[in-house]
Amino acid sequence: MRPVFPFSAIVGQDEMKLALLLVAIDPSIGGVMVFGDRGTGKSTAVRALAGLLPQMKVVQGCKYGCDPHSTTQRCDECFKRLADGQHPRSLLAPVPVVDLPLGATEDRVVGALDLERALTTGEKAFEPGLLARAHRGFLYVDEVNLLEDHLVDLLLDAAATGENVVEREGVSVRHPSRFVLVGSGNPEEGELRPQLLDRFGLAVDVRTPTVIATRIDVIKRRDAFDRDPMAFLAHWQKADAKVRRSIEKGRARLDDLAVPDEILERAAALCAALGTDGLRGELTLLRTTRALAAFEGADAVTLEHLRRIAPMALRHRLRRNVLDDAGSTTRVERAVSELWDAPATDVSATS
Amino acid sequence: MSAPRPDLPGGLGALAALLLAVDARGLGGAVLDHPVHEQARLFASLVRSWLPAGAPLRRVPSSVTADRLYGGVDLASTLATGKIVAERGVLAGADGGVLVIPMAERLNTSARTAVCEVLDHGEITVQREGIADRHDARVCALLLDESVDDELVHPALKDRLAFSVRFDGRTGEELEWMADETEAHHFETLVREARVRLSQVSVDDEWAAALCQTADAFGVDSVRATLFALRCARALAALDGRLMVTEKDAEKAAALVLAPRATRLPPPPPPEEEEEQGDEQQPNEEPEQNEPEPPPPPPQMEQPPEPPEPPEQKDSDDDSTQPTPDSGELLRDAVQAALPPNLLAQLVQNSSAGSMQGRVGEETPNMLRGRPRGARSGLPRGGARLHLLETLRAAAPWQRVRSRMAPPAGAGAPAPRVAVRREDFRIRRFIEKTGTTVLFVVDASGSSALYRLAEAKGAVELLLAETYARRDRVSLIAFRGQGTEVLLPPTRALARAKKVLSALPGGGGTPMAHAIDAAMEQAIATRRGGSSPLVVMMTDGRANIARDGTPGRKQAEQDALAAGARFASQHIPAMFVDTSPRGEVVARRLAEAMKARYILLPSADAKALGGLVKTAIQMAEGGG
Repeated sequence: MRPVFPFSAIVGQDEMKLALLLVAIDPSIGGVMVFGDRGTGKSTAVRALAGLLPQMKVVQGCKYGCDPHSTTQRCDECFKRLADGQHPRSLLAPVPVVDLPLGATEDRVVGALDLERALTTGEKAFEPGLLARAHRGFLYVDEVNLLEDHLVDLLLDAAATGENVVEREGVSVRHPSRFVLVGSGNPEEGELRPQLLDRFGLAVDVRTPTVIATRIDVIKRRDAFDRDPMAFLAHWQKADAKVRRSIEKGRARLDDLAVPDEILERAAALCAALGTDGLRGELTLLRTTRALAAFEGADAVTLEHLRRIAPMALRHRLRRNVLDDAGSTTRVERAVSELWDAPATDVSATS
Repeated sequence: MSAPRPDLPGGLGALAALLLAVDARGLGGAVLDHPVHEQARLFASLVRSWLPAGAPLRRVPSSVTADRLYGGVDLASTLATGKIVAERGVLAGADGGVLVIPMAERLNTSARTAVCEVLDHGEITVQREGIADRHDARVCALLLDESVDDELVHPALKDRLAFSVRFDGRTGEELEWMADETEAHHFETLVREARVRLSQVSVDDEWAAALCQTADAFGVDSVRATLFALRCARALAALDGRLMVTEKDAEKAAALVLAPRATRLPPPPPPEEEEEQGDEQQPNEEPEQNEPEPPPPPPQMEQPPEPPEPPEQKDSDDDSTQPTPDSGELLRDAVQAALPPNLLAQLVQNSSAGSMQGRVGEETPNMLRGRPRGARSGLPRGGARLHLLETLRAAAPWQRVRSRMAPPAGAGAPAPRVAVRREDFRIRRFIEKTGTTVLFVVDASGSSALYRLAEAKGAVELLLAETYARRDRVSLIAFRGQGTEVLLPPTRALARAKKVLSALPGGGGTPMAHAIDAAMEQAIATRRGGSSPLVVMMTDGRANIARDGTPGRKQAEQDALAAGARFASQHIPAMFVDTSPRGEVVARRLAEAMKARYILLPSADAKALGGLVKTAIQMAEGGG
């Protein structure tokens, strides 16, 4: 295993880091799209996340990594085990963070007939693909805006239903496939299909740091890591462990946190003001706000939480003006302050 | 070490070759800027000769298929053994050596992202056709930039390579000198020792800070570039037999890595350059006040017109070194001295084109023709290609039955491990049609179009939104004054189209004949690329520049009509949007000549126009 740049050593890029941590706490938020300039450490952050996530319990011997505690999301074999009254052993496994390379072919994404076994033993076995490997983890697509349309369709399908249904070459398999989709890309190099963009719960913009001192830090840390990865990792181990604990704590707190009606109303009003269609925006606001409160150990979900996550939850849902992507953050912030900053302040000066 | 050390080459090009051999992995490689073929070959073979013994040198032909690039199924062994045998691709085959990519500007999207992955991670992930694998691919990539006009090596690739080498006379001479037999051993030793020394070379924080400042002063935004400069400084020190980076190293590194990437100059460019260009320069909207000690601030008029969002994080850790302006100053001169000769002109262009950074060869039809779309049963003939894996998959379930039923093989001839029959054959399927490309030809002349230019822009934006929803590609051509200009080659990047469009200046004559010619050429090129073109002309039709460039309405109109007739002979679907207030007779006549659908802009409201394009696109697809 190649050493991975530690998450806590990433300089700046706070919004991207926060978004990744929030979906790690509550995967139902539904994925993160990272827009950004070249060389801003988009993929570094995603890979770093892999080294950080707390391990998960899986059914021993299950090739899909089924959750031993879940009774609904199981693969065929695990369902059978459940029906037979078996109690399979469970073990701890790392949360998968799977890369989907742009050159991937369909059979590797959804899985296919295991050819070797078919040829040598005549057995019809299923060889799971990337959608199986990403189950309960993260699926990362760099330059997702350049992904072939037919692969995008496969992702959309799985993301919508939470399972992967394979019907090809005489194999008929269905297995759970719930993953957090993380995409990155530079919109200047090709637009993202609207249907796919909609699947991402959160969207963040990363920019090259403009403060020179920050840049110097980026360079120095990267250089230190390249020269002696092991020493660098050891140095950041504590900080990473701290983040890991806060993810664990956040998850534990999540269920106890109720979102007050007032916040829900505010969220709905914000979505209405911005003209985001569908319920998805409101739902994402709700979940993300709660995840943020849990992450920070707050006793209650407050308006301040909502305000902080509103841009990342909504900026990619402003449909009315597809050509004016640049101003979307400003538009969300403006709506927020128009709605909640009574008496109305001079908004034009803040944008 | 006191042995007499030979001088290093003084030119940057030859020096880059040595540095790549010292730290191939850290520096990524180089773009070779329009090299003569022998020079490129010499450069590559020199770098290889200095790498550890046995380093491979692989070329990626522009016709490379995905399975050869990533690696695929080894046909012979797979059939012989009845097991899937994977074969390493070109990228993995170049591990530890040099990867040469000729015509890098033509590299298609999927090959490009594969090369980017290799440069980022030193390995390639294969998830293709039944193979899931990961190979080491630590390569030094040499990209031959052989672009002619509007296609450039993709910025994402350039960003991942430390150097850009220009082949001036000096570079050529010094490469020859280094290749000379009497010197070969010498340089090899030099590089080998430097490689050993490299990991011990330390860099003062002062120089790291100075490189960052210099990068900022010259508008080099990518963090990768600065990192390359740092590594380059270290490799220079190692080559020179030192364990400490000095000012000289930092200077050279800045000249090698940062100068070719400069997007602005610290002192303001002479003002007449800007006037000539006539583009709106966006003044920087918010000077950064939070900066700790701003380096002598470059007048930021060249700031690319990025979305005016506030920078998202301003805070940084406190343990950073306070940049010392002095060292930054020193490097600045070094960069300035190494700037490419035509930089000024380029800079003006870059700033007007925003962050678009030149024109990028957009997605050409994939590996073969169209998008690969699985397989279907059929025989591999008439140009159809066998899909081996799918063929084997089709044959697999029958193996037991067939081996039982197989007639006893002739004496001596071993029975094949896999019995494949005619009906198992699967061939690759591609989606031929890559959709429609809408070519907008916009009149930006000063005639009557000028006061309607804004409306024309509005209409184009509307149509862009329409094509966006349909995932079509768009291209923008503008004409005014003496000629036409392709503002945007066919692309799906709408944000870019919008940006280019809003920066489009107006004024000058109306070279109508030229514009029609340009539209026709583009349309034919689009067709050749496998996409159906639709031309949308937006003009008042009042030509006043003739084909030969002379002003004069009469001749200009005649030329335009002639061009229109030629256009019509190509059967290119077209729409002619008359932007004049009440409609011009000449416009109508021209539309007729082009056999284009005529629409008067003022009478067509926004929605109607969108609907018209929709039907026109359907028409184009039906006809194309």
